[in-house]
Amino acid sequence: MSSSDLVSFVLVNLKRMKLRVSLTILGVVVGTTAIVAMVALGVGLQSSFSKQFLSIGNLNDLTVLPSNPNKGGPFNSQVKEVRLDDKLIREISKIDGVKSVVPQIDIGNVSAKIQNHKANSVSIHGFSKENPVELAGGRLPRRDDEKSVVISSKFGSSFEGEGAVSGSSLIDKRALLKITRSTDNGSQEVRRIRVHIVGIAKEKGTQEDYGSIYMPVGFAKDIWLWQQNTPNLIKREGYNLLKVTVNSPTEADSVQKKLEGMNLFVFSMKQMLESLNVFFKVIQAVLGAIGAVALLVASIGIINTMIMSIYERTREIGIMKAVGASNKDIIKIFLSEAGFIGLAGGIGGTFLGWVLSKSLSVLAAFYLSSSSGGNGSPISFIVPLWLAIFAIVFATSVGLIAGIYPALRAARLNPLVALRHE
Amino acid sequence: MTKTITVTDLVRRYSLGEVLVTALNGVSVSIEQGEFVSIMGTSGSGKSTLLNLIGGLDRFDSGKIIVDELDIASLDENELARYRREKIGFIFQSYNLIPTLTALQNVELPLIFAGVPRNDRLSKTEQILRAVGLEKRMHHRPTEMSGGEQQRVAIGRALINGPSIILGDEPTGNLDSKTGEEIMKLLTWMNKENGLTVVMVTHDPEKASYADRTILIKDGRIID
Repeated sequence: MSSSDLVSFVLVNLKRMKLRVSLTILGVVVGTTAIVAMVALGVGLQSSFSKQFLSIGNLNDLTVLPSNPNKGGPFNSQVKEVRLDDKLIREISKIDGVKSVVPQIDIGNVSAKIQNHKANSVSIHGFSKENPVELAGGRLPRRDDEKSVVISSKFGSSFEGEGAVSGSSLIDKRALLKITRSTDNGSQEVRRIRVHIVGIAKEKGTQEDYGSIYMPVGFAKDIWLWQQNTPNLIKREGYNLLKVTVNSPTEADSVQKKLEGMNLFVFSMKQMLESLNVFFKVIQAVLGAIGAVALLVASIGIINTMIMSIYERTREIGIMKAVGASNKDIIKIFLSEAGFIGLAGGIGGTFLGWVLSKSLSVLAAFYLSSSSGGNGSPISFIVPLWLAIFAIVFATSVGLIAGIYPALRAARLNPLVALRHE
Repeated sequence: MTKTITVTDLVRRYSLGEVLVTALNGVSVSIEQGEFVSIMGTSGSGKSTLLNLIGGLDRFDSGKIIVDELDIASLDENELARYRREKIGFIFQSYNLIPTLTALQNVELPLIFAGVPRNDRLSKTEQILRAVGLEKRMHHRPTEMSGGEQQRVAIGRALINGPSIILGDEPTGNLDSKTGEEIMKLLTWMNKENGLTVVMVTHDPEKASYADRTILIKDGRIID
């Protein structure tokens, strides 16, 4: 029996029990829709989490802390803490694949005055030439000593007692920074620095967007050392954190291994993202399994429909056997019918699941985006191509598997008994 | 003349609930190639059982059936299907056509299972339908045809694969005498013109008289 004969034969057979076949297909459609929508939710969650995650940093970055907790460090005084000093920075810079090493410098206790706007609780962050802050407008400072800075995207919203001022209107303005430190005798000292605002940073979606000032790390280091007020601070205690930037994400793992070999604790975005992805794969599998329960129920429907149809067509099976159909032909016919039900339901369900995912995404965006600060909806449904193909193949396989028992039953019928069936 | 069918000591028992019924109790018969044989007997005599066993539709308990040097008992399910497809053409009392298929499609069916390509099938099917006088009924379904016409379709289906043996189980049983006669003429034509071996089960002596030879069967044994 050729494939094209089989197809036309199966279509003729299915056509005469239209209502029953349609209802059975509907069951598969519901099951497939459930799987597609559920997994689409998982994929959407993964995508929006990854996006948020990558806005904090990028895959080329490694953050280095003084010691390796696996080998002791802060939790085990027996291992000597490695100091993050300038000598170590030079050492790390020599590792293959490392593009730059800069200390991470964050300064608090700062206030800023721009014309007559005043912002308290400002923080200063240093950045390196190799790994500068991303700009939304303006330019970066040209040299370390230029005393030029970049302000965060929502800096204009952090002024005291007034409404938001547009960030771009602050570009090219002068700002007066007031840095406060405590002295040994308990009194406070203030240092005033005039800076020139030359750029505005891209929105990060974190608290840093409000009231942050970015400046070249050399400039920031001067201010930090003054504020810490400890002689030989770097030689005696070292920096808190180092930011290592590698040439490409593929080199991140090997660099991380070497740094860990130097008794340092390394936190890498890449590794975090990888474990996040594993977590989301599990979430998707769990969501998909919940959807698969509906398809399992539909497969019982397929078995039921096929057994009914075989019962009604027993005599026909006898006729086909009498005129020379082999058991294999009979199996092929009934398996194909069940497989077709699965395929049709799979295609319908994938389409419906896609439509449902689109509509739910729009709904979620409508109801949730206002509360999440306009940065897109945290919940979206995404149907990637692999999911669509998987859903159709899976539904067809479920149909075929559901058809095995009825098809074998049909093939095993004794032709004479089948012919006498009324 | 060469023997085409040789049946030796054939036994077939059925269990009907608790009761064991012996349908055939040691039947031996041989039929020559090109012969037209009718098997007569009352209902329950075992005549249909004999026909079905020769046609490979059912298994038997002991004895032997040899058809064209083929030992039927030794065939597995697949070989048996092939045997029915290539050597045997069945004609039943109740026609046994598939109601959803047209006359053409019903006749074509055995060719589909034989794996004959679509183009070859159509010309062959039309030719057979013309031979049985149904060229105007090709696209009608069984419910749109008279009993005689339906039986002609069944005869066409039996002939389509070019079998050497035609097995008829009361082929005229559901037809009026005039139509029955036409069918008998068609069977005679197949036997005389095409040289097919025809074995027909009947309880009607008039129809049996068309055959070259009549075998009488009673209580599972041949009596004449």
